[in-house]
Amino acid sequence: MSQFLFILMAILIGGAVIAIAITSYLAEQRRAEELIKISIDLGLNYHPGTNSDIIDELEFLNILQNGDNRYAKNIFGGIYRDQEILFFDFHYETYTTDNKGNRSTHHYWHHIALLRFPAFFPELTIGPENILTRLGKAFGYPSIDFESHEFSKTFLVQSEDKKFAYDICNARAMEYLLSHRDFHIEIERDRYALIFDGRTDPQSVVQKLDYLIELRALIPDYLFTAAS
Amino acid sequence: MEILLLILVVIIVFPLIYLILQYNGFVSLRNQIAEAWSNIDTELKRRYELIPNLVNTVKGYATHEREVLEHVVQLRNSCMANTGSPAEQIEGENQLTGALKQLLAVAENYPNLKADASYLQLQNELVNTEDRIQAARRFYNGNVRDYRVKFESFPTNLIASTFHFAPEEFLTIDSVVREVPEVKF
Repeated sequence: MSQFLFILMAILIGGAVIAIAITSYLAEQRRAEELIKISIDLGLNYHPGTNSDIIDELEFLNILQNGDNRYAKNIFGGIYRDQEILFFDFHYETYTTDNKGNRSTHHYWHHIALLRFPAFFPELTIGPENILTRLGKAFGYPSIDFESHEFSKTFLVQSEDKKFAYDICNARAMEYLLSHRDFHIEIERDRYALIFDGRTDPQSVVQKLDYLIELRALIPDYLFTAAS
Repeated sequence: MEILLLILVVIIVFPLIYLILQYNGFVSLRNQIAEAWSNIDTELKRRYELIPNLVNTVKGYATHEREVLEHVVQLRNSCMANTGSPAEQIEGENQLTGALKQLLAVAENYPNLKADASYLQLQNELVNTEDRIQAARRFYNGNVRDYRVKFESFPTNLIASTFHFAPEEFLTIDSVVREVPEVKF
């Protein structure tokens, strides 16, 4: 009797695992189809597979230095609203070992929208403040404050070049960022990157590329004439 | 002995390190303000260089606007000669900005002038320079704000007064040239 129960349990568990695998495979297929459709609609190139060359090429961006086994997936590239863009899912993993010596792997996903500037700029990062960063600031962790108290309270802005940070975080950009708080910004060399948590939701690709273009439009023209 | 040493560290060494850090912080902020002012100064000089060409171009088309043109030239010359404090200099610069706005508004009434390629280029350069001046002033004020926060907060205000750090003034940010006013004749 107990043997029968054991076999029944094994069948049920095995069935459930297979069902989950099939469902996620189908969901992944549907997602890939949606992404292909979006790339066609937007006139962008699309590569559904993994690619680590992009990560190597852009490794100067802090986010792409995290963890191991780093790769890009679902890569869009091309010209969108007159800007050279790149959009992809970014994966990395970290490892922890418990006191019994068992190693666990933790997978992390972000999706990143990037554009290329016609000039090179100093490094600048803008991200939401949290308890740790606020505590750090109280103990002298470097950050740049602006005339908008609300903006300074909401975002942690870091750059070696304070003047550049002021140029980027101008009044209109601060207003824009205060109404769009779900991403980090990284500027370095000739790249402007918006970093979102999790994998790409196909429905939000256009919206996120639009964020990128709108933020690019808020950068004063004189920065490009000065930098070129 | 060890306790005595610990007390000595707490009473003398830590406060001394704090004092040095805060003093250097004041010096650094004061230098940042000076650097920010030199940014503004560079942009103002760029504007001075643009004005003669702009005035000459406008003069070629708008011969009846001598008063406006002379006013701009006069203000430019007095601004160039002004070597007062940043706050004093900015007052004159704000007047010059007002005169330039008026000049651009007058130019709106001369279609041939508006179509002139060199005028358009000068106008673009002027607007671009104005944007830089505004950004540089904002950066200056940002540095002054950081300095004043430190200057007025406790206990750093004690260090400021002990070492005679002087208070710094904000610059008044005037409207920009690109906002051309309506002029009625």
